[in-house]
Amino acid sequence: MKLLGEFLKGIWRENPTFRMVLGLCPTLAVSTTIANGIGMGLAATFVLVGSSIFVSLVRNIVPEKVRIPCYIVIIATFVTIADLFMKAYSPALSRSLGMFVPLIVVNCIVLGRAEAFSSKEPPMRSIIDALGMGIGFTLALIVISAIRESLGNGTALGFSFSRVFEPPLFMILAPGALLTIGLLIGLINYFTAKKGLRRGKKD
Amino acid sequence: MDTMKKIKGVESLVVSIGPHIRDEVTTSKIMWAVTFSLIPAGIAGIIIFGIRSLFIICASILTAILAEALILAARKKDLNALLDGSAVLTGLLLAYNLPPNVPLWMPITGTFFAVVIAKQLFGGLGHNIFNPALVGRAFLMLSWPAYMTSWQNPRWKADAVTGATPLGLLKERHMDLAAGISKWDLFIGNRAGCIGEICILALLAGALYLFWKRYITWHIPFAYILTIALTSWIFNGSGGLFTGDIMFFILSGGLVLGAFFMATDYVTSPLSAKGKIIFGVGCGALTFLIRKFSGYPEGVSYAILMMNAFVPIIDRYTHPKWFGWVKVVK
Amino acid sequence: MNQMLRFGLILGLICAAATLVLAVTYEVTKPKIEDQLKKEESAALAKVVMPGADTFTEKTLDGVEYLEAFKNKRLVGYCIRATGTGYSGYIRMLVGIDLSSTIKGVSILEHSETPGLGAKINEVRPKEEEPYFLRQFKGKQAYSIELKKDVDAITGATISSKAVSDAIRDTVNKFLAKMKDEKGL
Repeated sequence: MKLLGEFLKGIWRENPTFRMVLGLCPTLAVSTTIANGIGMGLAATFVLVGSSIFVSLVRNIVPEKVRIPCYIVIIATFVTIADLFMKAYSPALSRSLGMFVPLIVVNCIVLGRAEAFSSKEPPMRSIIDALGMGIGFTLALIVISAIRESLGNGTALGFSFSRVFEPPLFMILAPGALLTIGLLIGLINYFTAKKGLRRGKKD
Repeated sequence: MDTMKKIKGVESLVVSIGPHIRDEVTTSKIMWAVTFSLIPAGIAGIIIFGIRSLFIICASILTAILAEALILAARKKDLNALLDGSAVLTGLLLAYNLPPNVPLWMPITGTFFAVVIAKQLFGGLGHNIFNPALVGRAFLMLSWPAYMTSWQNPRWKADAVTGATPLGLLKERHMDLAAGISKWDLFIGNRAGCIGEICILALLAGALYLFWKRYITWHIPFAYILTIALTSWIFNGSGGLFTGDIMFFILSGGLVLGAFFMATDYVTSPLSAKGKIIFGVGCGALTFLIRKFSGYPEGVSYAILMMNAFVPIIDRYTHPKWFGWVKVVK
Repeated sequence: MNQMLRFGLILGLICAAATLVLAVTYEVTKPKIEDQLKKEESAALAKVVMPGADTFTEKTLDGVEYLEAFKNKRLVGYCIRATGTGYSGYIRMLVGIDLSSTIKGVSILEHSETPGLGAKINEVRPKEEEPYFLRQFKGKQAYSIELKKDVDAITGATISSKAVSDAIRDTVNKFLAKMKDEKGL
């Protein structure tokens, strides 16, 4: 039951994008189409899970002072593996994600989880935590990219409704990303605050 | 904060640096005066481009009022704030910044974006960092660039359907065509352009009224235009340095509309005289840089938006010294 | 000192393990990646830039990069790499010309033009095979091609359109001049 909580917290309560506001660079840059969003999310989840296992395994061997370089080497290894496999088996996705796959190395979510969680917890819980965070990140990317693609490009999952309206390009350009994320975080904060208020009144 | 709310009409106060003098002037009065002063330019636009321009202006203003009412109601604010004229002015200015043959849904979406995102989400009148009408224009420019860059000649010209703005001609290196437009045509608005920017004569009449009423001061517009004049004269001539055609660069874009009516917006411009001059020079320099080096032919709207972002820092460093102030020697 | 040594050793061990893993992954994926790249480029070459040709050899001439195109071992034309300066970055393309410098096809390899506007230089209309802007170039004389005369510009994206046509003309001219020098020598 505790493991389930560890998994679920990444999806909502501590969602990396909407609650912790981490890893915004790739989120802003690649959330132009749903396919990109899913691809980026899955690549990051793979890196998160892989690096979590190893960071957790070596957590008692690695001395405090050199832990960051060790974590980065582990993370970079998994990022390069993901990058190479993507290039080999999904060249189209690799091309549209471009620089942002190698840049997962510096994604704050990955190093953040290594530092805050898997360097202190046993492998099993680290995997669960990383999976939750990864899926939370992927879901956030899907929500953002679905809004941006359908509004800005008039397409979603292969359907095209650009005949119904002329899509505002604004939404798939950089300012549209900032606006979408800002409005979503605002909405989530509004509802959590309201919920908190109601709970407070009950007590 | 609670005591602030109890004072009636606190929202209509004008923020300025002391000493404060009580006057009959209110924000609302100024907003309506600016709106009024813009009417001649609108009439000129309608005469030059036809009745369609009027529809665009009306669509824009109506959307502004509706959007403002919607958000005020959602925020549980007093609907009387609708009467302060700021929403109408935003709608009007946005319409003036559109080409005359855009489809009618464009002023509607643009104004909605301007009022809801750029003004109300920042906290409403007095709290917005950026000029709402210009944010609306930037949104439209990014969203539907093809519509925002297809122009129409005055309706009495033979090829009235498509045209190019004088600055657009320059950008595409048709120097001869750009130079072929007489200064008088530029002055009265016999050229392609946005609805409200073309008739300089009408705009100047409105600006004179605002100066006469002392609702705007000379600092921003003059610093802005002078900077453009200087930089264009020095760097923007076809025959080398110091050969730029000053009047062409002042009259041919949205500079007059921007300098007198949008850069001077009370909310989004600096408070002190010194700050206003810095703001104006900055707008001028950025406009020149965009016109000369970017892919866009005209840069007034982006220049003002960029300088809007600097207003808090300008205000901070141009705060006037109070009486008896002595510099502390360390 | 002893502690430093221990730190270094542990970090070194982790790095060594990482290197090993990466070396294996690299070897496993390498043939596949190279295969993909080659497939893409030759598909672009044979289909779009120089229809009909079967083999290509990479060449450089005084800074101009090009490929010689052969059909049944006979030289039929050249595919020249051209770079234009667009609205928001470089536009890299491949231009195919036959021996009389008539354009056989143009393919844009890389660009960063505004989506929905400048990016239309590479836009394919539904139910069509190739970008409508680039199709116009086919059959035109490469050394004299002029925007608005030989090819129509994209509405609202004159700068991007001009970048493509100018780059094609200028690069082909440069190439032809260099070839002349070469043969003259």
